[in-house]
Amino acid sequence: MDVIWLLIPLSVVLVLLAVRAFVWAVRTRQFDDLDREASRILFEESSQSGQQPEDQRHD
Amino acid sequence: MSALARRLHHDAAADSEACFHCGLPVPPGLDIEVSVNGRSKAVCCHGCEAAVQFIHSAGLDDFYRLRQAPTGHRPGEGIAADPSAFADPTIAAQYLERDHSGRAHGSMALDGVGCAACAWVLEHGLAGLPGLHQVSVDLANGRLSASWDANDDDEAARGLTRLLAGINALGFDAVPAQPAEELALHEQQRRRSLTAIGIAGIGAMQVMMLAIADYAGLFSGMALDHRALLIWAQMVLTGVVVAFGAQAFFRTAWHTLRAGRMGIDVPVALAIGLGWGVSALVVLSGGIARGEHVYFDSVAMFTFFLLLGRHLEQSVRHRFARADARLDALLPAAVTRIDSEGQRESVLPMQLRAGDHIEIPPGGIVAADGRVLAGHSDIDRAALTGESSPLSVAPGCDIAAGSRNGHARLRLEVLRPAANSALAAIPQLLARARAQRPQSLHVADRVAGFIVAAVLVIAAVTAGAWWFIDPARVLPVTLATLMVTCPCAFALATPVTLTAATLRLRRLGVLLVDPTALERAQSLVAAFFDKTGTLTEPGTLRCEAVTAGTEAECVNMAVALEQDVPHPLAVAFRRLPVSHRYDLEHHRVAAGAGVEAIVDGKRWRLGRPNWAASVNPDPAAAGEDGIWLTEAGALRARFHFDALPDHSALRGERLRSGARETVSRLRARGLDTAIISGDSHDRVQAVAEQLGITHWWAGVDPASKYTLLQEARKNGGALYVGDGLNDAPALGGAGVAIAMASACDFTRSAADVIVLDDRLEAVIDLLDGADRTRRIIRQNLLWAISYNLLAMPLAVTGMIAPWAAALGMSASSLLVLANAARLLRQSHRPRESSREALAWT
Repeated sequence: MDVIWLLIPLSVVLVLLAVRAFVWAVRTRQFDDLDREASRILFEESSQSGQQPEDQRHD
Repeated sequence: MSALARRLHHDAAADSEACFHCGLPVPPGLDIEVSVNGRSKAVCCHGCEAAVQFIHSAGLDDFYRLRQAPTGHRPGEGIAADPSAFADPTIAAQYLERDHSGRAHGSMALDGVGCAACAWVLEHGLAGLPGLHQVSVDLANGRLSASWDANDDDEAARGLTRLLAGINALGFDAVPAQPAEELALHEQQRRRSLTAIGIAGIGAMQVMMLAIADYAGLFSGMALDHRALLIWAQMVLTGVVVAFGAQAFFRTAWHTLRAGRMGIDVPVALAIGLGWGVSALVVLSGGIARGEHVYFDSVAMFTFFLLLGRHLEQSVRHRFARADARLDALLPAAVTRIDSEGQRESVLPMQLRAGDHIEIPPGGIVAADGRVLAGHSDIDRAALTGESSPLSVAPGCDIAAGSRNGHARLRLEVLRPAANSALAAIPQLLARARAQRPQSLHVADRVAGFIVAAVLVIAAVTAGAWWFIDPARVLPVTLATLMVTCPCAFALATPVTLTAATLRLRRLGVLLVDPTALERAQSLVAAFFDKTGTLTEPGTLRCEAVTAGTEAECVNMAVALEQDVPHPLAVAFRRLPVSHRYDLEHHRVAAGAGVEAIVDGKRWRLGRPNWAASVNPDPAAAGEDGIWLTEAGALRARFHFDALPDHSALRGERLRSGARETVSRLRARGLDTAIISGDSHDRVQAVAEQLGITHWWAGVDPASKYTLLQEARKNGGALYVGDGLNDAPALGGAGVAIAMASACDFTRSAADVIVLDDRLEAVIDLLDGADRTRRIIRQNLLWAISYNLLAMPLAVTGMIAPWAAALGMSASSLLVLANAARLLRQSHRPRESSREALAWT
């Protein structure tokens, strides 16, 4: 069971990393618009067929 | 009538077919169809027809497949700005920023944008505009920001007009918006609260996991040093949660204490701070070896749930507080000034000085109080004063800023700058009303101070007593006492219930902007209503007494004649269904009389009987009312509003469908009902009689409306339902302020509650919801207090171990949560408007 001395502190470090990653995501505005990102994949796929290359400019 | 029956009734009245583009009902008899993927679909107006065609031609048909709900917005019926107003470089420059790399950046407030598909169709539909560099839609705030190539102000203005025209073509409305500081602040707050939730959430889950391992170890036996490791890990993680997640609680607690008040955040901060601090003390003093308990898991979970509740409450509040409560939001973007040499220039309304000559185009908003120098027109003051019938003006008449001009161009002399107008008084009044509003205190807030003080005193006394009885047990007993008496369940009781009630009401189409309105609803003694637009809605025209030809022909002709005429009456005509469009020649508006045009060589007129039928007036009908359609002077049809029976005074308006039921049910609840309107005596009296309301005031200005509600507050407060600009101060002064969804942003920002589908019965839903919420809050508080009181003696006498106390506290909080969740389960009413509510979220 001595491995626990490694695993528990490691889990704490991992959690802190996860928290850091989340804070980074919020700061870089990745949570600003949740409604649209959810459906973005649908739109991008279909826009390939009918659109001019211009619409790629704003991505 | 049940909700379903009411809905069906409503649908039957409005016709069941919905427009393919906007989802609003297609007027009966109207026959405009568009072809989408080979199938023809009905649309409700030519604006929608054009939007569908434009979207189709741009290859963006997926919009209709992927959107969550129809837009519910007819093109041109929203905040629409006339793109040409921004063609002037000096005006456009007010809304744009140009950077050094030759690009202009602008932001527009959008109307009619509901879901991701709307944002997508806008971004892709506009992407092809020449010179456009980047365009993105911020769905949450209803803003579009764009940048385009522009080397000088001229080019920037051209880009802006092109952009606005493009947005209109796609079937949405937009006005350029100045960068809103408030908006940026909300964004920042949202991000901060999201960060806190994330930290608390991730941390709490991990702490919980370690705690479960720890509890399991209690039963299965665990080496002491392993247990210590688990607890040390919990301490570190909970420390992070407390330091970064619970920051906000400590900050507000500190601020309220420094202001000499007691707030709900004080016990919350104390519970979190003490919980962690005392547990850490146990760890550091070697309490683990003595088998003492720690409370890191409770602290972390408590912080997380509380943050989550706060976040939900805050996002609802922000969504509708986004309107700028400023004067320039109410004025046109630009106004034409004429100098002494007759030169015209576009200036900002704020630049006008007394004595300036300005020109108001037909349909334009009057930018400053002024006196008419030239022109005859009708002025619509409904938004400003609540008067529903237009006022005829001639040279010499005074006009107030904020009125909407009718059919003819007017030249005005400015009497006073816009900042001193009656219009400017409305934002000021609202600000004053808000400042004077009594600080709304939760029941919990009022007793929180007492409870916290009591907890601290009891803990101190317990600690002191045990010092003499058995010094070794001071810490565990004091801790158990603190845990048992911790007002966690008590602190949760109110916010959790209010959050659940907010969600439930949302499903019913009632958007609660300020959940504390539910608490204020209990002391209401009266319900006051605005008339125009609240108790009444614009009536529909009926075509009667056709003397020749079919009714459809007459309606077609009348609608054709009223096309492009900026007059309230013309708007009513344009709502009528048409099946054929005529080509007009010599189309002109005769001020105060009607409209005329030549069609197929014959002169058609629509207007007052004695003007329209000038050739051969029928003597029997000479005294008749209504609007006549004549062909070469001969009567073809008469148009009437379906006004209230026996009340010709109410031309152009009719009661909203639920008005009668709402008023009678309010009265059944023991509330006094009254109408406070800015409209004329006759009209208000007519509505009051129809609804059986005995108290009513007519011709009331915004300031007096506010005073009336202030008076009512002395007796316990009044509910106020309104929709006009002139209602904003009254809403600010009301006990519970309710705005119709059709109200302008400014008015909505003054309200506690917004009725999403303009359904008056929502007032009853709100009061019912408030009753139920109050009951559940009371149960929760009662439970929390009695649990604390019952368990406290046991804890003080050392009969409860700290771990049992913590378990009891968590169970008590969970019970409160479960009780609040009952509010959500009880909404099984089948409601169509959940779809509309969705489009609003």
